[in-house]
Amino acid sequence: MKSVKKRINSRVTLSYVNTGEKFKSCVFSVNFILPLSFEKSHLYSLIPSVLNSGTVNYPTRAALCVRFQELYGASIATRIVKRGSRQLISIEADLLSDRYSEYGNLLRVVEMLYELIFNPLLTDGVFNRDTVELEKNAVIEKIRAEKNNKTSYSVQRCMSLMLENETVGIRLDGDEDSVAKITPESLYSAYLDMINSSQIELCYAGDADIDDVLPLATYIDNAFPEGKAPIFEKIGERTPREVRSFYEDVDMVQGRLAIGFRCVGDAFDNDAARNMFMGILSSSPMSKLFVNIREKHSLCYYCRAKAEFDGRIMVIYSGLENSQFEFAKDAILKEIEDIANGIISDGEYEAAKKSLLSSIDYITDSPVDIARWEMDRAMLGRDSDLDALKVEIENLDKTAVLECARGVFVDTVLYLNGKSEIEDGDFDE
Amino acid sequence: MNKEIITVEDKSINEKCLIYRHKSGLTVCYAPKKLSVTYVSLTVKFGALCQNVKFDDSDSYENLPDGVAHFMEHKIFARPDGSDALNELAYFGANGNAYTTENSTSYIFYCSENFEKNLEILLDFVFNPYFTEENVKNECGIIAEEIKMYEDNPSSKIYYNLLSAIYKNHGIVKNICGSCESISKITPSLLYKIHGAFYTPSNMCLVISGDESFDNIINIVEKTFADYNINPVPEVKYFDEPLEINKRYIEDMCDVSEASYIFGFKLAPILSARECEKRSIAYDILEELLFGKASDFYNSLYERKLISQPITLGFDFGNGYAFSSVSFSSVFAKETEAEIRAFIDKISGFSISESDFLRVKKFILANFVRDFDSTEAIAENLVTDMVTGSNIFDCTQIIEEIDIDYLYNVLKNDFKTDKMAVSAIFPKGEK
Repeated sequence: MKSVKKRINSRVTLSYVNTGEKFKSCVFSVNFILPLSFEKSHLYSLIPSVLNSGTVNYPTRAALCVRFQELYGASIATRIVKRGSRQLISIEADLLSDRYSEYGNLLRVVEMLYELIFNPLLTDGVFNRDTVELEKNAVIEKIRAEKNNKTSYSVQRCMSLMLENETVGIRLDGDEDSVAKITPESLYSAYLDMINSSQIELCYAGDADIDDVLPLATYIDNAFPEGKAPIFEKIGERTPREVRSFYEDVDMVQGRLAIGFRCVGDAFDNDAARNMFMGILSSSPMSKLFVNIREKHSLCYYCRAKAEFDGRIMVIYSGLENSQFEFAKDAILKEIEDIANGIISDGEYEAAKKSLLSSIDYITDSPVDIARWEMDRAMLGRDSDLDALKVEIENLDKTAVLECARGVFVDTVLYLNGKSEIEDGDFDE
Repeated sequence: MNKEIITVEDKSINEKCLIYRHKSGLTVCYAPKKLSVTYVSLTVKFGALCQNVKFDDSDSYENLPDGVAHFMEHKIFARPDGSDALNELAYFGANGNAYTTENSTSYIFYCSENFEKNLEILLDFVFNPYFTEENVKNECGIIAEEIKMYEDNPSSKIYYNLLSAIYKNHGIVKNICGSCESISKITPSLLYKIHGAFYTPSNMCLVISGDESFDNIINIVEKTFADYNINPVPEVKYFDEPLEINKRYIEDMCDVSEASYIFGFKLAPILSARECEKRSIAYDILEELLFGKASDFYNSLYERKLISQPITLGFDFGNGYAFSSVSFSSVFAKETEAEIRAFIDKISGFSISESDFLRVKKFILANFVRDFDSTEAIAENLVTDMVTGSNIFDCTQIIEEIDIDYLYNVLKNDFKTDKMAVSAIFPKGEK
């Protein structure tokens, strides 16, 4: 699967993927890429929900919802992610193709995307105060609700401790204080920033001909003023530092362990190598964490790694008895050390490779995933050719994987104590 | 190929599946789809509700330990050489997994290569289990951590609390995973006994969605099950459940940021699979009309900051049970609860406009059609069909059949306050 890239002006590019008649649905997305910023990232993140609250011609949330339902249930999703020093704000329409709805459905949905983005409802030249307050409230409640899910909370908390005051650690939603300080004026100013000075990527994945999609892209493009794309800083090279440990009591049954790592070295620029490293360590069904930590040691139900290699960070997390924390930590580190020393069986390597190749095929089975992949790559200025990536994985020199394992250094260990009183022996009959 | 194959299709959306029943009783269902990834599910009709079983050698019902179906699901991957069948699948490029529901257990994989080899592996490990004292004991530790993980999950807690308020005797109130105590009673011999009785082809279905050869699938099934014939499965005693709810209210405290509620309404079990399907779709339509982002009620609560997350309307059904539910979370618990309670009190008088109804129906139909863009969604819908007797290829017809009067009947009959139980969870120290 290969996309066609059309540079529309100095800031705006269209990525077009013709899926043929493989799907009944298609995706059109408008994407803004901006530098991560302590001052502005949380403002950018709030903008889509304010835009979704009403426009000049559809002044309420309900009116917008009704319109999208009329367009054969086109759904509008907002996706906000960060990679390295960049933030992506994606407003994405997932809709039934004209083949399964009616001729002109795509055009009308794109017109609505235009309406959402370029015709916001304003009061005295800025966003409506009540709307901004409502959406701020929803974000603050979401931030407070993070503790409801203890597993994701442990990962989030570990990253916060590890990345305090670092650009890659910026929370996209901000924190309660920073969100509370947002005003209609500051938010509208961030909106103008987003329109005037971000890198703009449009993406279409579906069955429509490129000659039909290009005019839609041009229609959206015409609303963007000419401008320069932003300059993105490269994340500075990581250096290992002394390990810090944190112990916290949380009101929960199961203990949670989260180990934060810094990733050092150029090996992490190699997509094939870093993905294979993750596969062997965690994401393949035959991965070392699953087979050894869960199955062999019988320590936990889950033990997984999560990484943002463009930001040079990784977290391994698990839920287990407090009494097993140290044993589990040592066992986890031993698995990484084994990879670094080349102790990888043919089975482990093959399974990781096949799992990765299969997950690449999986991307091509969904217009939404295709569009997201394209935009994730555009965000980093990288090639999106999936077939080329598969070839890279097939031909990868194993030592590149070892280099990744040699480049991860423990930075922060978070122990969240659970209250479970069950001891191992309780299972003896 | 000279086999009796039934084709079930929905020409309006250009989708179909082919069904073949092997002499062993195994039902094979294949939905052709030209996508890269093939999704496969082997499902046995043995789930968490199979708690009282009359085995062949007995005159009485045996009470099985809670969580045994789920335990079997975990342990069936064990191979005699100490390896795990998941690894075998992984080696041939398949991602394997499994899950247990109230009514069934499914073993799945998806892959973009070596489909036939992976299918052979799946059929081999599911039908040739290897249980030992040691590997069973080992699994107890893993499942105990899974149970504890769910104990920290407020959604799981409020849901099971609701079930215990609605039901007096029904086994649905028990956690699918069982408890640390109940799983400690599970032995290799019990697992073998259950496997021998229920994991028989005539109690199973094989569902495949992807771009494969149906002839080759049938050849593999014929080779694998050449020596199998139809075996009757043991009788399972379900539950003698009264129509009344168990208790009106149950609450708990958790380390959460806001209160959550579920209002549950006990319904008489629905016997017709088609009616269950029709009712499910009606609930999807009603959720949008009553609580969707276009609804006056949702927007009134949202604009007063009483809620920030969607209100959901649910309909659950299975062996001997059916209930509807309204779920929501709020920082202003009492005020929001009072508003939603008042809304439900008047729900039977809710007025539906023709234009809203037609618009939402169009939206629901579009979502249904979009589901056919995924081999996983197709296969999982077909598994539900195989277990419950419903038929996804009948859905566009059912959506067409639903009219406003049908929705009014659901509103009138399914939300009776004397059948309502409430489950609530409050943040610790804030109630």
